[in-house]
Amino acid sequence: MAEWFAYDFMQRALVAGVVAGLLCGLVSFFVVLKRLAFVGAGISHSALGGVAIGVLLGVNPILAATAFCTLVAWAIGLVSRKGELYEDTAIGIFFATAMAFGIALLSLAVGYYADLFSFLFGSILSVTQTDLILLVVTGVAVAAFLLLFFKELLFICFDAEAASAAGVPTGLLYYGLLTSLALTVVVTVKILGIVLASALLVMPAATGYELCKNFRGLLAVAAAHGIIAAAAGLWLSYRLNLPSGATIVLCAAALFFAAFVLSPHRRARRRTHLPSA
Amino acid sequence: MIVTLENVTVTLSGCRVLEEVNLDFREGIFTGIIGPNGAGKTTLLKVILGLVKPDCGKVTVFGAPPAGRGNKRHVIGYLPQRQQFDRRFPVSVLDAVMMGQVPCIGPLRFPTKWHREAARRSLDLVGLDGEIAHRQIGELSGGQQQLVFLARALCPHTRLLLLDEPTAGLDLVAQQRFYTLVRNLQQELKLTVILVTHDLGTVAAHADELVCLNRRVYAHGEPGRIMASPVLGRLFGNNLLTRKEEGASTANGRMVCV
Repeated sequence: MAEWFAYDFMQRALVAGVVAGLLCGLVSFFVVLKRLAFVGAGISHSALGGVAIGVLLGVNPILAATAFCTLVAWAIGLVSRKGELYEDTAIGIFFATAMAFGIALLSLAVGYYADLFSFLFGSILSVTQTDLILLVVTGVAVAAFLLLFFKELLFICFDAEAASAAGVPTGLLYYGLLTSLALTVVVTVKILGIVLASALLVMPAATGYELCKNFRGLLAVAAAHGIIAAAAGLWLSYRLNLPSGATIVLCAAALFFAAFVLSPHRRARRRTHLPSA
Repeated sequence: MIVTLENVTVTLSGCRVLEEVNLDFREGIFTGIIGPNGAGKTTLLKVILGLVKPDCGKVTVFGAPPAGRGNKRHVIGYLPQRQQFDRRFPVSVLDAVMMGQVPCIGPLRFPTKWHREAARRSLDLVGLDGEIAHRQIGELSGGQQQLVFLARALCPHTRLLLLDEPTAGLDLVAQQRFYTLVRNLQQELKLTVILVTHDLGTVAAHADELVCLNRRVYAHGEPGRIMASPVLGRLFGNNLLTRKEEGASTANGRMVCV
């Protein structure tokens, strides 16, 4: 067994990274196809507000962040679906407000909150058994939702109006997707941190999008990308003594840019000199 | 009657879009809905689909309300107005047609070989051969994409087909071919077709009935009678260019272009 894998905390970190990478890969499929990348970034940043509430109330910050992020996700969905605000405007307002709320609350907390830095930038090496269980349970629940409603969600991503006309409950499923996104963000925050969590919600499927013409291939590439980025990033962070969250995101970005350069879509376009779509 | 609207009034964003609309659509009849922009044609289709709730009035589709319990969405095929979509969206032609099977498959169930075969049959019906089924939807021309979306609307249970400006953006040859195909499918599959269009001449040549709509129903009847009546002038103003053209026999030899 490799030297780095001999430590208990490294084993837990690797399992957490692989499970989170796989989960993010699956969720990113719909984030990219439904164009929810900014929603993901907004939800992950608003997690700070939830963490702050947890700290102040003496509740597990992850549980508090789960409830808070889910509420923020629903609020973004509600305001944008009602057409009262553009979606990106709603996100810009909600996530800045939630972060400001978090910073203000944390300033009220007595003393220095040592874990704040780990929430902001992630600390995969400090993942506990409880964190792992929470990650696996959340992962199974989110994956089950995505699998059971896969055909409906794909229809919504492709043509929401036709899906509605066919009797697909587009509103309910949209909120289900936002909830899945919020849950995934919260369990990923421990690994990548609030600042970087949204990266793995976009890059896996964005990589698949560059390489595949069909959603089945895209889904497979997204899942593989999430796992490879997490495992490779963790190993590199150990070897080079770099922050694990940032190294995982850099690995994910490297995979994306490699796919971008090798993209058959782009190469075909270059060959036929067609303008971009 | 397949679809009945009684005194249906719809207001959207404070604007009255439909006003006391009374309409019956009979089984196996091809009806064209014509009217100027903003006449409420698309809204009428959405009311029939249950996507827009009327302020007042009663709507029944196959004897049931269009939304809620007992609705018959699974027998309604719908082709929305042509929209720009991401040409790199990662679905094949067959995958796109399979989406039309979603109401037949039902929630929490997965498509089977039977559903895939049904999707292939739908593609055959619109004249797209087997080879094209595995191409990415974005690689097809606009006319072919409309045929794919028509195939998506033709799931095996489809009895009512709603088409919203299906030939917008297509060239004249593709438009004629599309209308002929819809007419043939309607007769072959005994479908009830409701088609919204601005293309008066062509729809008059293919439809059994026309409805002139501009918030209210101005006329409903055979194309020949409607095209000869002064109601079109009231609907569209008098800036109509009329010319004789063969093939528009149901319109008494008159073809009207706006």
